[in-house]
Amino acid sequence: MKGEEFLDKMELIDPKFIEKAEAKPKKHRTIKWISAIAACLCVLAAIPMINSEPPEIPQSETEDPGEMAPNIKNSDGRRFFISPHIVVFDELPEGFEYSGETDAGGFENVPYYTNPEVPEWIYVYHEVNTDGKIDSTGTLIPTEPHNAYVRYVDERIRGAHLVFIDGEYYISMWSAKPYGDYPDVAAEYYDRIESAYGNRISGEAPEGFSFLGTTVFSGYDTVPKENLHCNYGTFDVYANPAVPEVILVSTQWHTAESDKNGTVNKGFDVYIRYDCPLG
Amino acid sequence: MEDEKIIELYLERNEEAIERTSEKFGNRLFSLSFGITEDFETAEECENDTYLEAWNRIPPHEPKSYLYAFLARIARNISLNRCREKERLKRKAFLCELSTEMEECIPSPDDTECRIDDMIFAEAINGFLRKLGEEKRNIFVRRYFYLDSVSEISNRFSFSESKVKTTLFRLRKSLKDHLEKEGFEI
Repeated sequence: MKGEEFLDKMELIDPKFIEKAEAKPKKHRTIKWISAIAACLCVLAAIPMINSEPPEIPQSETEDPGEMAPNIKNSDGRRFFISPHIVVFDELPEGFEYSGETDAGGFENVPYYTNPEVPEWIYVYHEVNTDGKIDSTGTLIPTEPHNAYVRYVDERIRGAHLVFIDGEYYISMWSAKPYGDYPDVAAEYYDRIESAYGNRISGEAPEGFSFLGTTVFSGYDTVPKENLHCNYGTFDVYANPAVPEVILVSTQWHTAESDKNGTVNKGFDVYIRYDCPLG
Repeated sequence: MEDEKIIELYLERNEEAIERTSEKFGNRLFSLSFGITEDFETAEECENDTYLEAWNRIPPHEPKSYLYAFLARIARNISLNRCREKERLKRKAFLCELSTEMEECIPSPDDTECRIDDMIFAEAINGFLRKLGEEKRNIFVRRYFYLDSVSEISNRFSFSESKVKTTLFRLRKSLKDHLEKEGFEI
């Protein structure tokens, strides 16, 4: 056998090793990948200012962060993963207090901070190189690695797109997990809604759904507490009194094919009523 | 959409399967192929051919729990073959480098026809990988499955290039030892 054939035989590597090698790796000294995501977020964050359109979801947000993502456990054994929106502060946010030391993001014995008023977040103080300036070409010029307060989010709501209406929580079908240690919704319920509406509806709202209102953005990673607040942005909401477990939230997207032509599709993301564990 | 549901679409011969596959894995498959071919158009062709091949292979295959790995394997093969077919891609040096590295792992490299079957080889290589720590295993898989360059691996894992080269060198030697211990006749 020659080297070339041997190389071809590497296709026989176990699928689970192939999948694992595709996951984001742990970093050792500096979580540099944050820079890349932050650069995207900086650019995306600039979009609403120019265009009044909501930023697109970071790709990793609704994916299961997996064991590889920086995470910590609180005193109750609950896991918190680094925010998909990479929220970092030089100063400790108000209301958070020192709660001990932990291992997180590849760092050992780093201090973390909690706030009983905001149980869904923990801030951890460790090295990052997220900030910097964006030059005229849109390239992020990062600062040197430095320590900062990094937001970690309770795994039960991390990446969940939520809308709060009349005392009920709705979660997008995209972000709802009907599986895992903390399923957001029962699999049968999820399947029933999915078979009726799918995750997304293209074009006009189906018959029976009418305009309910426009959401107010409550902030990323938050659990919205006020009526018609949403933790993902400002969108139009449509509802059908005959189907109280479903609302439709306006959205737009690029399909793989239409990306090349710059075509934008408009429609609705399907959100389903659920029992928010932190609501 | 969950992988299982995408597979169901393939099994139903519903063409939406390809659309959903492209939505979920298109970027990753394109990146994989582009990393091997370093040619935009060829990588696009490879990505599309991967969908076609998946359409042809499912059924009988039903890779419900490893759909991405299944697709990545197809995309890798197609991309490697394109590199070999198309002189203009100028990827011979790259393939040569990887093949030479692989030869270091073979107990007795020669021109004889391959005498092992895939199942035995899969058992041997995966036995070797199982013994490794996660980090080393990922470095090996990135280099010899995804065919990443040393510099890409170095960036991905925040290691120096020399550390990556040293790690790969030791891994190749360990693999050779492992294959010899297994009594491998290649």
